[in-house]
Amino acid sequence: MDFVGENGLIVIFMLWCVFLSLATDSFLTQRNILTVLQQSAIVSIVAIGEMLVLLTGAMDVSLAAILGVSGLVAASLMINNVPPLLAVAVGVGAGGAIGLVNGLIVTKSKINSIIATLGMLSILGGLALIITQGQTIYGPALDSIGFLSSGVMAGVRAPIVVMFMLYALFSSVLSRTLFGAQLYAVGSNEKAAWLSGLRVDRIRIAAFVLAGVGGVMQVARQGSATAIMGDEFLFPILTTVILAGVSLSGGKGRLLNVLIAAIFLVTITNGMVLLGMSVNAQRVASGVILIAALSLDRLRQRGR
Amino acid sequence: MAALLQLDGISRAFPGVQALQDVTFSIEAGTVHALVGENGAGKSTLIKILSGALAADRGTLLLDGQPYQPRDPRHALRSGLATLHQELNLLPTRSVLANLTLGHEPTRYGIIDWKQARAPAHRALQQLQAEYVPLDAPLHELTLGEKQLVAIAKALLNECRVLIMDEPTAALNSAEVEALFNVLTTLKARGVTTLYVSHRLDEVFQIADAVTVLRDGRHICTTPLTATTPDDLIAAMVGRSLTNAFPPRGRHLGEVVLSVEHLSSARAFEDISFRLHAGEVLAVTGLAGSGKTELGQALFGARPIDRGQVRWFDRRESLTPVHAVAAGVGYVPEDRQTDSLLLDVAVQRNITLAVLPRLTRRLGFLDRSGERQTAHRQAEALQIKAPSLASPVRVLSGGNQQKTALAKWLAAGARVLILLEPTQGIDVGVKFEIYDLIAQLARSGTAILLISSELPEVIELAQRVLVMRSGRIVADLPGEQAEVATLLRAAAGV
Repeated sequence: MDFVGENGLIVIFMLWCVFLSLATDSFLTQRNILTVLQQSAIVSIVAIGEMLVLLTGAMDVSLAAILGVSGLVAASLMINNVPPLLAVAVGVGAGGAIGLVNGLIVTKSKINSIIATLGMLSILGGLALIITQGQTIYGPALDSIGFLSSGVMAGVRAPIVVMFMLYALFSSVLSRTLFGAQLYAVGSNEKAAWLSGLRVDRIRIAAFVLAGVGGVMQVARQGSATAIMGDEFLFPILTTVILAGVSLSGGKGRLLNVLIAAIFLVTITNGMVLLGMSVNAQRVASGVILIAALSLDRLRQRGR
Repeated sequence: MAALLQLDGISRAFPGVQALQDVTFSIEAGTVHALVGENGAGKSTLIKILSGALAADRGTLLLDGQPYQPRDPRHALRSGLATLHQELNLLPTRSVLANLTLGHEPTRYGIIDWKQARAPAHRALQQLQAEYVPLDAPLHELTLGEKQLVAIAKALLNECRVLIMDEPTAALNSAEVEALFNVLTTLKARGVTTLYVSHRLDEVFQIADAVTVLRDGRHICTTPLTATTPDDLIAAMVGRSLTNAFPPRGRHLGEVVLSVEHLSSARAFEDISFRLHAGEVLAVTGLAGSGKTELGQALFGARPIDRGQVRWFDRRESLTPVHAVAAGVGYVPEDRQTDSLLLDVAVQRNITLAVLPRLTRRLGFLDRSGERQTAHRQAEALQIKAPSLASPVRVLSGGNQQKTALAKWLAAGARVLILLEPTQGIDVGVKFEIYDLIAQLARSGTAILLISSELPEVIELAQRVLVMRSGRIVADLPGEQAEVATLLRAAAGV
């Protein structure tokens, strides 16, 4: 019973998977599982960054837009014959720089982080359209980083490997490093952390920067870049961390649950496609499943 | 007299703690019955069980000879047990009348008939000699004492027979306490029984007919007040007889660790100058609003300074908590729950929070066994009572939370401690443990700045006492010459 109590989300997820395996022939096939993991990769990686920010008691709603802009920057550099590695590095750097700006705005001018990053979301959306002039960026130059999406490492597609590596890395960062301890401390009680000599602002800014770095995978996934390519991730990122039970007031959250939640979300769509539901019915059902999963998880926590 | 409420073998456990164990006693009808015990003795759990907020694991309750098993607070209220928590559970933005009427509003065709509600509300306040409280004023405009009267009147309107009051005087001034005691006497005359939970033994002797002592979740004794003494009760509460002796004052003064020159902060204090030495206990006292708390905050860099200079260990860097901690200064704030502790985080991490950078190895990884050892050492030295060092600080009693707040700075090896009201809201046993700790730290060379309104501790512990009034230092006395009367006169300016 303790296992169920601690791992409610995992149990609910498992039950959903068991249901899909029994109800469809194709869910529990190697091919489908790899597809699900591949589709979870980007959201789950960016959700790590969102979790870091949430742990400090802030929230970043501009991450989807940062994802789009850093991908755009990398893609436009590449089609202008900048070496791919350098272009990717600049794209990542741009994401980090935007995160830094977010962090500085939130910590120095004390604007509520949701409002500040909502502003950033709008700014980045506009900038992306200005950079691309509404055009899609594509071309053979983008193929050189194709291995990031279609490359195979140890028999598995690269994004899946990268996803698991990043989760392993950050699970150890959060539980075993000074930085991880400080993130939780700042989110648990900012004032107490400050009065214990922690550099609260710097820690929170670092979380925003790391969150901004998360997104260059996207350009590789589709082999082209558009101004609006980050938009589709806005809700999945937030839904993932909320479903994972990361506290919106800071200081609480388990990284493993974030990974499970990201995969869970993909299996909802995936499962309904396999069940042969219409697109409109899928939208209704995914809302129902999401609310049901969240309610079950919260009810279970309250019962303890 | 007949027993109105009988408790028989009441037990309740929480993970890792037996909060109540086989508690048996009874409360006579029409009396004021006091319930005392240290923090963590089980008083709150017992109140929660009586008021229906928690269920007992074992044991039975009899109310008027009938089995009483409250399912929830609403059920308890209908059975005639009203509980006044410290936070009072009133609606701050609604009127006094709306608060008094809440839950049994008289209605006509589903619309509240406020006219009809006024008479009983007024009568209830009248019974408490509180008819001067305006029925139409929003509750938040009342003083705390008046709010409490409203809460009691509300209980009367609910036809309560047993009134449970949890630390009702904690935030009242002495006139309000006096008024409250008059009300309790009135209630008693009307046959209402009061269960009075308090820390303050002087009040218990003033108002109660009988007293029950709990310790570590067990019932120690129930006795009429006429058959006991304060010393007996304290001994029963702490489980040993306390000599209540303050540790001897140190004499040695080391080098200057802090020099403050002409320090001013707008609307808080002005032109403060003094020096603090290693091994010294320097007390700063004064009334609420004298600026002593703000001075403590400013010295740690937690409040902006307008003019003047603060030098820790002769360093010349800017003054922020980060720099102060790096220089070896520790700070125990007045409100430990909001300003010092990570309530939902493990005791262990709370103890090591300020020393974590020094427990960090290659690549930012923490030395986990080092962290465990550090926490264990401090928890043992300060005798912090916790189910385990992995439990969240929230589950500890007030005294043990305060010890954890202190342990943080001992773990960090602080050479100076700024202590703000370090024994506020702490029971007498732990209080003296903290006094011993302060004296012992000073003997080993730690400088202590003790900012406190608790005059006995100021007088007995400090080598030197500064008194503040309206933001200025108005007296500077050697500890040996400080007396309560002198300090009070200086603090009040008479």
